[in-house]
Amino acid sequence: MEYLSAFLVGGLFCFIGQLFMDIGKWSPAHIMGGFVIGGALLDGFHLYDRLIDFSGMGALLPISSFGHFLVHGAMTEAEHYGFLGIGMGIFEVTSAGVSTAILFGFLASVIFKPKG
Amino acid sequence: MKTNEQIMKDRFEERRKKMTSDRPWVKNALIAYLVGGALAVLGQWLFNRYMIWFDLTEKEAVNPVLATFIFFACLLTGFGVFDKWSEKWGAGLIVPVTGFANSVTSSGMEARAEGIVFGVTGNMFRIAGVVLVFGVVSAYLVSFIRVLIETLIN
Repeated sequence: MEYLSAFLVGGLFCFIGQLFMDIGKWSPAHIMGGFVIGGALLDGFHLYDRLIDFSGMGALLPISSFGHFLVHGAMTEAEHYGFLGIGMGIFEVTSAGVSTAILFGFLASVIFKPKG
Repeated sequence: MKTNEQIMKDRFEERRKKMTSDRPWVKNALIAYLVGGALAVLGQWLFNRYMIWFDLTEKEAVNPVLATFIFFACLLTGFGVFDKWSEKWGAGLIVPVTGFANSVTSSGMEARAEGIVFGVTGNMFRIAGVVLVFGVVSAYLVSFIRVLIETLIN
């Protein structure tokens, strides 16, 4: 059952992205930026949490979860430190994802030669 | 009375219009749906496995799963496979975190010829920078408004 909801929601995100690409003529960079902003906005109203409760990885795997995690980290620190906490905690949860992307991206671009 | 050639030309024009205006966006979107859904199912399966294998809680298991996807996306981009797949499957690979990892790796690889300092490290976030900057700016604004409202209420 959780696999079904993950499939439906995860697919839906990509479906919307593809529509923006084909009909709106957005570039991949625009799509990723738009999804991140959308995730951050949805999390501002606690809507993204419900989506994650419902679909698990279906909502966590799309890049919009990056925006959601940024807001989440900022809000957890803000509970203790108020406005200062926003800057302190904004990368708290996403740190693993960003640092893995930097590490493996760097290693791959040093090791591999581009083709074509 | 139209000549034979004229009729052929008209027919050709008609067909050309049909082929160019009727873009295959429905098919592309369905393919993206299937691929994205399949990736999410794979992620969900990994998530459940990781919780058992490494004895993690639900919150702790999210980051290792994302890291696994990022690792394989970087590896496949390095082998040149990812670009072929993303041409076919479109947003199905770009919207998940794999798209983020691919943009970091491919811009780094493209600039490899310019050296490591100004080439790779300087250019790695040429596209992924969009995600980081927009993400941080929008998340900052959203959190700021929320903290403001919460302090005003209390």
